[in-house]
Amino acid sequence: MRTGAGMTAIICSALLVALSHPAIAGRPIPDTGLDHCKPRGEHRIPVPTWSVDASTNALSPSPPPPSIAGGSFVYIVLGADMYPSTFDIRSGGAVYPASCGKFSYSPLVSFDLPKDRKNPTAGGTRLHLKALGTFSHGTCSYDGFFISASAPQTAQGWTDLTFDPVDKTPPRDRYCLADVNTARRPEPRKVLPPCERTAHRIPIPVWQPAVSADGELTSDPPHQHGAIVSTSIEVPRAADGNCIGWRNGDFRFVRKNPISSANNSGLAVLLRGNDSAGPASCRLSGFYLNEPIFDVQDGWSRTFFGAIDANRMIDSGQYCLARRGEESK
Amino acid sequence: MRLRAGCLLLLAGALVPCAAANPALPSCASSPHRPNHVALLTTPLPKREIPYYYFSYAAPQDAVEAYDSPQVLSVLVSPDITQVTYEFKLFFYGEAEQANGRFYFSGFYKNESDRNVTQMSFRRLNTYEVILSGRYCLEAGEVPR
Repeated sequence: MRTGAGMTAIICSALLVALSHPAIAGRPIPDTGLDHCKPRGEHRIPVPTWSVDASTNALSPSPPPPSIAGGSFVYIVLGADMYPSTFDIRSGGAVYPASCGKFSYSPLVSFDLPKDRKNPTAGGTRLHLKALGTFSHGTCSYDGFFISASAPQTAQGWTDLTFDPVDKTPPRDRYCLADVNTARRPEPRKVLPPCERTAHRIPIPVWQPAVSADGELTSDPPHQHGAIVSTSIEVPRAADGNCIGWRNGDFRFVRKNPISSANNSGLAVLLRGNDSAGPASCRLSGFYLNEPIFDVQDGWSRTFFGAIDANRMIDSGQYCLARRGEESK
Repeated sequence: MRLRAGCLLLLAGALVPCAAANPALPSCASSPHRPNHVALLTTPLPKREIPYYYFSYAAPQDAVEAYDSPQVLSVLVSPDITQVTYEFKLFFYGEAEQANGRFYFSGFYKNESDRNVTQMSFRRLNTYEVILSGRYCLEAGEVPR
């Protein structure tokens, strides 16, 4: 029979071991080179920070992966036990025992993150990273910026997520770092009143085009420098799993010039932010501010729409939602 | 009335075709509590007494001088526009787009000019902050209605 003092020592030791584990202890996020996102009024794209403990002896289940569009950035902070190992290395079709940083290239490292650690057959997330780990105190760490390489694939309760490493930090003027394991802050959704019920407000036009498989829009955006527009666009995924038009944080669509017989001129429409990802499509939904781009290349002019904080805009009491078709009057 | 302002081209004083400017700010008449009045540039040169401007200004590349300090540009304005015999420059602090042989100064600017008659200075403001802060309004007669 253990004494009270002995039991206290065991509990303290267990706690010490638990707290010394990097992920369990809430390992501080290293200096990523990005600013943290402002709680309100942020116009940069939040990069989700996903902190994962891939150890088999972790006390709590891993947090679910953030919702990311195909091709989105994510900052991953991952720690995994080496003894016993909880992951494997794959290269050229072969599977190798876990090793940490002993490769001259970045191999594909796979981690099983079960939803219920007591019942690993119930499914979960299978994470694949092309990365070199860093070994320290029995743990292999994989920290850094990654980009989602393809759309999530789900089979038999397991969702496969594959990420490629990113060589450079995403540009600071366009991206900010979101809180750990909370990619997007859930805020109560406010609604802009229709202009018919208000007076002396600035009408916000509604623009809801469809997007073809070639990234072509079915209608012109209402673009005037400094103007706000309310948009909702469903963006299908391409064959490679990424959402059509996504590149380096922006969605780029086109409106071809109907007069041009060669079909090689028109307007390129860039949208940034207000995006979310689903299994079959991405959605751009919310309010955007139009800013000019004056550069014309090979007959293509461009216009840019950056997401703005909807609640802050609505709270100003200065705007109303135009009835569709009335915005240009 | 909806205002459709083009880019004003410095030096030649001609209009450069570009998209219309229509900043989403309420009119100062309907928002008297807003302290910062913004004017759209409708004359060849900005006025010293107007504190805030929304510019859609284009200048030929050869009239623009870049300085060692980050994002400081000056534009030499033609005597045809200034109607003075001495050299007159506009200084712009903040981002400007360089494209098609021109520099484009577009967005909200704060007038930081002093009494020096040979120059005027403007500092670019964050567009999102101006729109959403609730402190700016558009001068009468030039409102996006």
